[in-house]
Amino acid sequence: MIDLSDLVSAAFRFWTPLGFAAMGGVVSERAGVVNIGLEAMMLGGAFAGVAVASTSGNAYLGLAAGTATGALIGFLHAVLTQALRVPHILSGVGLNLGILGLTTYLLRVYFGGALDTENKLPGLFVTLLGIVTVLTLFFILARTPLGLRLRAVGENPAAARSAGVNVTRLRYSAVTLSGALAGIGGVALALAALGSFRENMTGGRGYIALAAVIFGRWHPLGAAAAAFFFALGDALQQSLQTAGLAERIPPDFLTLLPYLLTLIALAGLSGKASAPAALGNQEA
Amino acid sequence: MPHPPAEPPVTAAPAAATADAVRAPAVSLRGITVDFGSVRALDNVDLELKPGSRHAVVGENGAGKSTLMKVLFGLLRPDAGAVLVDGIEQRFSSPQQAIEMGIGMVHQHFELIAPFTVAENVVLGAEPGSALLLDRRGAEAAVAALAKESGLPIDPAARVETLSVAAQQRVEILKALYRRARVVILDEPTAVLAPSEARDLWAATERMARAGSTVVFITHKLDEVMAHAETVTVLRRGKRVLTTAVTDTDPARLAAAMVGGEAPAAAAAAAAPSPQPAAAPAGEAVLRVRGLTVRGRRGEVAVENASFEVRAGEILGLAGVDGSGQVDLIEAVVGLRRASAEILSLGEVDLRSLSVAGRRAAGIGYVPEDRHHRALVLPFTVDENAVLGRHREPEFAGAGGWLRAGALRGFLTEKAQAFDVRGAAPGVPARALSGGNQQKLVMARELSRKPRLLLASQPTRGLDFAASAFVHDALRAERDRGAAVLVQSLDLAEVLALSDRVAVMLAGRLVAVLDAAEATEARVGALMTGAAAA
Repeated sequence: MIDLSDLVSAAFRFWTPLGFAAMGGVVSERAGVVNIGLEAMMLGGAFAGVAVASTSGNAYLGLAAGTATGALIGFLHAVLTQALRVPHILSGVGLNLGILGLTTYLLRVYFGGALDTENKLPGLFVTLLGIVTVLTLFFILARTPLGLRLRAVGENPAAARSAGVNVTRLRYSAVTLSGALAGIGGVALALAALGSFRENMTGGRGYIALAAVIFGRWHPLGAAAAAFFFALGDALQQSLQTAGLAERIPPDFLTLLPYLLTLIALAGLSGKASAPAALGNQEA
Repeated sequence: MPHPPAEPPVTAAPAAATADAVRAPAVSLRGITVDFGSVRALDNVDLELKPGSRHAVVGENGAGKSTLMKVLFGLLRPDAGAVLVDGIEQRFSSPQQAIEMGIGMVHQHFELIAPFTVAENVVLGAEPGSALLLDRRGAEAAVAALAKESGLPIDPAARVETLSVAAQQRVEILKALYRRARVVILDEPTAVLAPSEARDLWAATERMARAGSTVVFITHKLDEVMAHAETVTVLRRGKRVLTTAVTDTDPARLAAAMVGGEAPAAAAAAAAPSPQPAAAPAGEAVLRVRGLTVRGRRGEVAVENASFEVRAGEILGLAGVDGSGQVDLIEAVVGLRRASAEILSLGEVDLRSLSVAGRRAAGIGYVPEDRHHRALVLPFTVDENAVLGRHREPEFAGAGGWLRAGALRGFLTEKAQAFDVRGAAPGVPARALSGGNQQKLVMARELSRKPRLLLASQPTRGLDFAASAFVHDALRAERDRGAAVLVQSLDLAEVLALSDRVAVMLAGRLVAVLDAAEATEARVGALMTGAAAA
């Protein structure tokens, strides 16, 4: 049957990409910018990570490239939403579609439809990095002047501005950092266990990370825990499949499990009381 | 009418200010001119602010009071003119620079972060401690010390969202003082306060002035000017028409200066509102409410077990400090809020199972508090707004559900004339009207059905006194026609001037219903704040 320690270690493996992206979501949304573009930032990070690792032969260069690519896409989201006043959801969805198209194109044209590398990142290292990130973010938001200002910008940008906070700069920084974190999430997905990149390999994990942010009530620890809950669902469905249940339950249904969990978790959430008050506001 | 006193072009203000280092900077605005497109909002306005005094700025809506304060606080760059601090010309491109020069502003709509604590709100942007660690205890101690020193009592660890409006206002003032503001601008500071809270505020401003600061306040209430300012400036249509010591003027002269020419009856009435009781005794109960309980957005009890009635031919005024449940109560009667009640009926009609449309059809007219969100659809034309809610009636909707544009136009033209809605030509979007004319349009629409019950929430909010007087007259006319009228206002003077009976709410409970004769300001004020039992 199911081996519990296998299940937990698989859950951590699945958690790492989700956790990074969810932290990215927390940073962006606490600053008031909806980030449904996490998917694009993960996917771009994953692609750049594997591409650089395989061509350079160094996994850590891949990690740096993935982080930078995520940050770049995040910066783009900041420009679109802040300077050009594109509605946040529209900008995020546009980025998701655009990056999906771009990575697919590059993959087919330059890498023959599949990217593989022997230069992987140690899974334990990436997971520990993820845990450290969660704790650091928690500390910054709760205990530093920077965190106070970031939260102020997400709650009431006008008040923050009149208190002397540079709202625009803080939002650009937050959304760019958000992209970098999601980019690391993408690298963790592609370069830690698999060492490969495939078309649309994030497969909606950015959306699940965003769901974890909401389910975790925009709190770093809450979002990390929610991401773990979803990762556990993912691990469970995989264990069930390998345990031979696939003969009795259609495998497609099992694959559905984590998404179903997401839906149920969000449906059970009452109200929007804990969302940053100015989240998604066009006026700043 | 009084002439603006000739002021010396450049006074010896700098010398006076340097005499005392802790004194507020002597601030003067010289020849301020601001254009909004083709409209001149401010025309060559001068303003001298002396340290250690309180200066009132009065004027009708659109006179330019707020615009002038925005220039002073760096929110708006003037098209011409200069801001001088201690004689040195400053060009503020943001409030940040004004703050650095010692100028602070408390906006009418507070700029506070609801889930943050008082201390967090005060220190935000200028936090004590290192960049790596927020010194919460230090912040709370600093705010507690400042609160004590300035006579603005507050719990630094309390979350702002749990505070009363008066306490939130104290937080705003503390924010300015924490940033070492020596000139504090207050925009209509008592509009949302109960009388006792207003007294505390004025006491604090007096202390600030004695300590050498300058307090500038905008107000519509001339009695406040007379009691709490040393100097007053009157603006009219963007021009300064008068600056004088309050000892040299009186409310009637100020009112006359505000409206121009002779003081019309409306201005005199607004300067000293007086009750005008109903001509005939009230009839039978039209609205009957028993055991009404309404829950707020977070599930808390907003109105608890309220029972009252409003009779035909009377105005029942609802008094209470902001957030006492008045709005919830009225919205529950209209049907906008879910509520439980043993009885909620209009005449013989049980309202409880009726929708909003059903209740309106049963004879309820409603003038909501927030006319931009609840009363009008701003981008729609005034014709459309004039029939909003009545648009399904055969008079306006033809076969197949088409709106009859001609009927709308005719209706609008008739109502605009009857209610003196200026600028309401067919096809004009509602947003193009001034606040007073928007409110007249809403009144015209709501009264057009001859409601048995008229509910009005803050009907003169933000209106100048000519428009306010018009609205008051319209409400009295409804009463005299025999309608039951329920009016809610945060302005106690307005409630007392309009009402035949006054209901007082405190923290969601209806604590008293008084006849006009017993409803003195002192008594109602005490009931509103819980200082007296019913």
